Amino acid sequence: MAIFKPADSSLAKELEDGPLRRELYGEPPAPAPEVEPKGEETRLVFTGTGSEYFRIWVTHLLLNLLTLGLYSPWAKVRKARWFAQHTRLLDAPFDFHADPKRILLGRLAVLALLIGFLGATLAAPLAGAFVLGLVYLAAPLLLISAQRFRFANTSWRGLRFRLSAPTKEIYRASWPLLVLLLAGIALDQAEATRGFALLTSFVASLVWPWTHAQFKGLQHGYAAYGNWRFDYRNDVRGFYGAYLGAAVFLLLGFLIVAVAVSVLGLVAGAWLPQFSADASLVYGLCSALTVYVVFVPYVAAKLQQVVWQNTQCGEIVFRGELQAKKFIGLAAGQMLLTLLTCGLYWPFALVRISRYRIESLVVISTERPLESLAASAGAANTTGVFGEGWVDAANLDLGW
Amino acid sequence: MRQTSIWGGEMKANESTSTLPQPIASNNEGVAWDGIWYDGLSAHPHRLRVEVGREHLLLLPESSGLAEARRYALADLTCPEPWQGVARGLSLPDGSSLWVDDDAAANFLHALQRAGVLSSKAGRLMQSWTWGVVATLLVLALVVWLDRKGIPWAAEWAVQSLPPRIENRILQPVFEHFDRLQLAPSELPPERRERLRQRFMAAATALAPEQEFQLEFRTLPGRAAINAFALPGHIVVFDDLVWYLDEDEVLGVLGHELGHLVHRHGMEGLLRTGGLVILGTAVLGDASMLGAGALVLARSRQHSREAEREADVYALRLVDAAGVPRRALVSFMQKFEAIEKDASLSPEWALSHPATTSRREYFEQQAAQDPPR
Repeated sequence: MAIFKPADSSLAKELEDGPLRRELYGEPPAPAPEVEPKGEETRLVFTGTGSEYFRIWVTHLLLNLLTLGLYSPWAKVRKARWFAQHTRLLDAPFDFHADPKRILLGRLAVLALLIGFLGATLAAPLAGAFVLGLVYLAAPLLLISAQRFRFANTSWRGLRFRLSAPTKEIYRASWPLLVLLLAGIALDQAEATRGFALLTSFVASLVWPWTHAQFKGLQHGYAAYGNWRFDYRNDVRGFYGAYLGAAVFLLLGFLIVAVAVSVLGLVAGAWLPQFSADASLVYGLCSALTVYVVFVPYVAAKLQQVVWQNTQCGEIVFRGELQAKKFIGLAAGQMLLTLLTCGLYWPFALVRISRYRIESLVVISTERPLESLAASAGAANTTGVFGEGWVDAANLDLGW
Repeated sequence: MRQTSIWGGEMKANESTSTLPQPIASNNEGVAWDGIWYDGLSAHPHRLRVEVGREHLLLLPESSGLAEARRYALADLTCPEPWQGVARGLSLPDGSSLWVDDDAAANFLHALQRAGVLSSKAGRLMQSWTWGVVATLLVLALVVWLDRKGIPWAAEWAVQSLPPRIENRILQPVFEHFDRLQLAPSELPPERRERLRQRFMAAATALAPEQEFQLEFRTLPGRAAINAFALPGHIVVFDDLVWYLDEDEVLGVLGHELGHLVHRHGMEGLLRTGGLVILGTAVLGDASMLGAGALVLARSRQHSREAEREADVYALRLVDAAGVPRRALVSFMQKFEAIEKDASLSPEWALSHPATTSRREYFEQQAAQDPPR
């Protein structure tokens, strides 16, 4: 750090900058230009257009309908690859490599599970409950397996990402929720009163932000890119803050909906006598919409900030700049257009929303320019990506 | 920066498959592109020249730090899809990858295609908006057809081929569960129950001798239930209905419920709704499960109303068989209208039953005619 140091004279240190001091020691260097050892900030860039994605989406829809869903793994891989290749960092695109046949295998496995569940329920309700319990127990494993699959098949500059979250950790993160879900099944079998069911779902909603924080921690803390490991500082408080804030906004939204529907009911009731009867229906729909348009984007925006703020990868740090207000406005507008077009606008909406989400992530290299870091990334990566075979045969993808 | 040593040292083992002994014969056309190649071991970009030969893709070292040229058989490659503004990315068999800049990409793709490296047919179709419009229309037509014809037909076929024994097995627990948790025994005078049962069973046996079911009388504690319902194996009548209507009218209601059983509406409705859920999820699930759910609900309500009309037709046949005047059905609907007058009304699209007025009008019309003898 080359900050101005006066000559080692005690007098000079005590002198104010002025004619005398200048006389004695000459011109001081320009008032220390803050030489922050700053690397640089880079933003992710998204280049996809709604026009292109619409054609992909509609073709996939058609083929899925015609093949009764058998085409969906191929559709899914193309969609993921399209989004990955349109996402650029330092002008280099990401890529997605999954083999659709493996996804098909994963789906068939889930289908078998579902048929087993239905069959068991038919044979005996108790057996059905048992199988449902098993499904719950397996769910965290399947979830993380899908994440591993997704990471292992995503690459940037020829290097794959990787998720090495150990199974033990997954159950450490999900046991409270699992206990509640299993208790729910048991209560249902015991034909307990409604009060118990409400209590378990209330406790579950209290536990959920903690669980979500743990899962994000697994996802970010055990991620790797080439030989770079990601670090994550778990911020449970941030998660509770985000959910609490969203809940407050949601209640506010419900209140506005209630008032608006009542006023509308008074006005419309004059010439539409059946409106008063529909009010509950309208209210229900509007409330559900509020969850979509307020709760979900708010949580997404706040959590993006919390999660990336606590993520680090060597000398690289991140900043999530998703603004809750802006995101809610965007989501509301896009949802409205989607509704008005009976879903035909959806691909355009997805692209708009994705662009905002992706481009609000800033990658900051604290020491050196990112480009030089990226170039040296593989220097110690002596093992190579393909030699190790990241794509563990046990990892099946189940969809996200 | 020299990266040669890195992969040069590590890759030796599998280099032999892809590296050609020098010199490489350049292709005749002499067309080459600037590309960026990643060896899959480091994120370091190697800038080099790319040529498409007759049978091989050639990577020629420039100032890339790449020591030797590399060669890949075209037969092992998959053509990338020509997305706008995206560099053309090729995953090469040895785990390395090549990107040709988007400016030059179009004719690079043409060169690959000319050499027989094709992308998927679907991927090529998607490039044109003509196809986009055609596909949209096809999807809309298909969705409407599935909703109107495909799913109802498939549900009916499935119900027909499902033995009633299995149907009962599926839906029996639903009744038992409901019965145990919500319903209480009837408080009707036993002789009244018996008389109703005898009159109804006589007509039902004459009309549908094959149909196996039990007639149950129940109450719904704490609530007025002027109603009856049918689940495979059971027709349940609530006490309040028997108190509110006269006996002929109750027979009409029971005929309606028997109609549900004979037409197997329970299972059919379940399958139809299941089909709609799958269709709705496929089309809209990506955007919003809420939207998909609302549409499925509206459509299954429509199916439910159709089923109710079918059951009303059956109610007419039953009253005829029981020797009850058809007017009983009209007066039963009138009594229903009287109850509904105070209660709320919803628009018909949100209802599971057709509007009572239109049902009453139907019965009035039928009552004017003589029953076929």
